Amino acid sequence: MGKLTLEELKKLRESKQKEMSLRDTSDKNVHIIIGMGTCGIAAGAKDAYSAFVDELAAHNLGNVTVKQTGCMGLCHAEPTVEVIMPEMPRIIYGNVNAQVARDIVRKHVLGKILVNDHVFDRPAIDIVEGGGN
Amino acid sequence: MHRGLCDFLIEIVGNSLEADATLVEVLWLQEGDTLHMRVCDNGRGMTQEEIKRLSDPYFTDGRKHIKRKAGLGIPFLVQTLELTGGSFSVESQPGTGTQLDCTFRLDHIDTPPEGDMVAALLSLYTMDGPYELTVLRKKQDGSTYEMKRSELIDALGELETAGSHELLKAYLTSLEQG
Repeated sequence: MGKLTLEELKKLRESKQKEMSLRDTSDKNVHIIIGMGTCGIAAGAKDAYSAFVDELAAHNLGNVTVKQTGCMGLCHAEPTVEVIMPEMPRIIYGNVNAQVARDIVRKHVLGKILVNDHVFDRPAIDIVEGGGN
Repeated sequence: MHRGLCDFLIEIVGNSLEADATLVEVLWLQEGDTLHMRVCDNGRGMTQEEIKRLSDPYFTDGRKHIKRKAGLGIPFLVQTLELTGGSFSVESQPGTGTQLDCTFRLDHIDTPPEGDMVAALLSLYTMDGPYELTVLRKKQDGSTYEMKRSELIDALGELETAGSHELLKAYLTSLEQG
């Protein structure tokens, strides 16, 4: 692959938008939030992030919002990823490597089934607003 | 400890944004057996006292995590540099910004590999908030490229959805391989 120019990138975006406008847009309300604190980075969060991007693309889920955040308070289970979407409980997954990221897209986002072995609790109390007081 | 040198870059740029920087400039330059990283921002800056405690893992400014008394990002970086013959310096003024420079010795056996630059850049450009980020990258083969976040937003419309991330990743891959 040769170097893409910004102009070519813009054209790719335009053709992608045309293609996406013809599709179901229910994925618009899906949010995937990846913990990118020091603990997440050290555990390979960027690999999980990259895998999410690839897997969402493979399933034409271009409207899903993907964001990064800091430590979610589950450093022992990094990389951690929160998934928020309609018809599913708000879930934080832990130990999310590239394979688990792909499983989350296929099972949780598409199949509406939890990826059981990676479900964790809410964040530790010291990072909740107000310090848990 | 981080597995790749580019992981440190994510860390340091994240620090800049947490310090409310709206402008971040990154140099990532390979010259022979060294890799120079510079991250320069217009964030809130640090006092001399804060700079002195930068490599202390039990020091943090306490803004991000209430009650948490650890800050491991820069201590990991300094530790890696100390173990591998690299160098580290930081200049900062409260209210003005911070410039962090470090040089990694690529010929040292314990220096981590550069790592997945495409994934790292993808992360850098898609962090939360309205910030400008410029990266000037010089690769091992001497080729260079420079990229501004505002130009990417102009081309892609936004940097929040998986659709734009997919295209950004393809673009970054083409720059890395081209």
